[in-house]
Amino acid sequence: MAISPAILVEQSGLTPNIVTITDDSTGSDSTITKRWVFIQDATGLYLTGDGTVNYTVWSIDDLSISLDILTQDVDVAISVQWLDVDDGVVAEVEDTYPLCQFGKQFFYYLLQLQGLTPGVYQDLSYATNLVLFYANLVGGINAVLWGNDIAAGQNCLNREIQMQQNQSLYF
Amino acid sequence: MALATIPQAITRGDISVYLSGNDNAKGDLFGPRIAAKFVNSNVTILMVTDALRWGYEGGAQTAQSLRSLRNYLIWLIGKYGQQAEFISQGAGGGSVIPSGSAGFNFLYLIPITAADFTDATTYNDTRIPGKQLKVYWNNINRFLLSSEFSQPVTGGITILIDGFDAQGANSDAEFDIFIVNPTGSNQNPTPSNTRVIS
Repeated sequence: MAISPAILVEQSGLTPNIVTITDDSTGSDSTITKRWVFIQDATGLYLTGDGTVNYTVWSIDDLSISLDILTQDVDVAISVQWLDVDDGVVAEVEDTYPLCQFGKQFFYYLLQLQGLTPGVYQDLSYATNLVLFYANLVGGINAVLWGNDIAAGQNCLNREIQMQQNQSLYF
Repeated sequence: MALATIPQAITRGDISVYLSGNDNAKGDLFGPRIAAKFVNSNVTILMVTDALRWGYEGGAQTAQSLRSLRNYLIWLIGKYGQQAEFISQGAGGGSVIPSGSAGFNFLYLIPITAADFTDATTYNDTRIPGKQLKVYWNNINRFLLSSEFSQPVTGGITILIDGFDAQGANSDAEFDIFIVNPTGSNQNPTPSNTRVIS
């Protein structure tokens, strides 16, 4: 049966700097010798590659590949190509993904503190900023999940990233 | 009454969002700073529920931390949580159940795993024939497209994704089946006492 390409993309809250891609394809093609992974953000910047090429080579012997490329929340387009010995593309899959574990775990941290000191919620500034943070985080996720719009999503994420990086001002 | 597990607390939080929203809408509670004005606003409940969900799914939080936030959520959802417990689990709720009533049947969310499948691709559920469903596949963190599942006439779902095998490669699959327009049925309550006011 010919290969039906598919991938699974995961990001753990324990290691939010790492994105793991697993080959979930069915079928096979004996001409395939390697895979290339492309990860591009909303500005067009490739997070993969080494500056010379835009992709990272994913050995055909490895079921999954873990890339330590993240420093903050980002909405990305991920493309994986299955190639033959002449670098011809045999199969390809591409989709958009919200990689937002930094923001999710930071939000958990805020609510955990709130649970310990419920009175903090009466602070108008705190409560307003909390809602703003949440709305931007969810907006950044939903823009990709529902609209495949990494640009709109990243605009939302940039606002919550700014709040994370200046948390003493907001929370 | 058993203490809610983390997933149960998350479900009750999700349900409490609309319960509190509808309850709040009956009064003069909405304003530009709703989340700050009322601790049990539906926005606050929504945020705490999502925080617990992300902490639970992210794998980075300790069990003690998750239990602590769960307890906070249970306190936060209060009476809505009791209603949500009955809605989601068909038990509990205390005085929410009117005397004489045989109960209220309301289906909203059905979490299933691969173990619930009868074969490689089919999950049967006679409670949901003809319902409009949205199916979330937790392992890949997205809703299934309409082309990726079908609904048997007798109720349930059949996964149409090539290669999907709930009894093989996808034995760890977990789905959340949402009913888009849930409808309930209730039986007319029979008052235990009849009062005549003259």
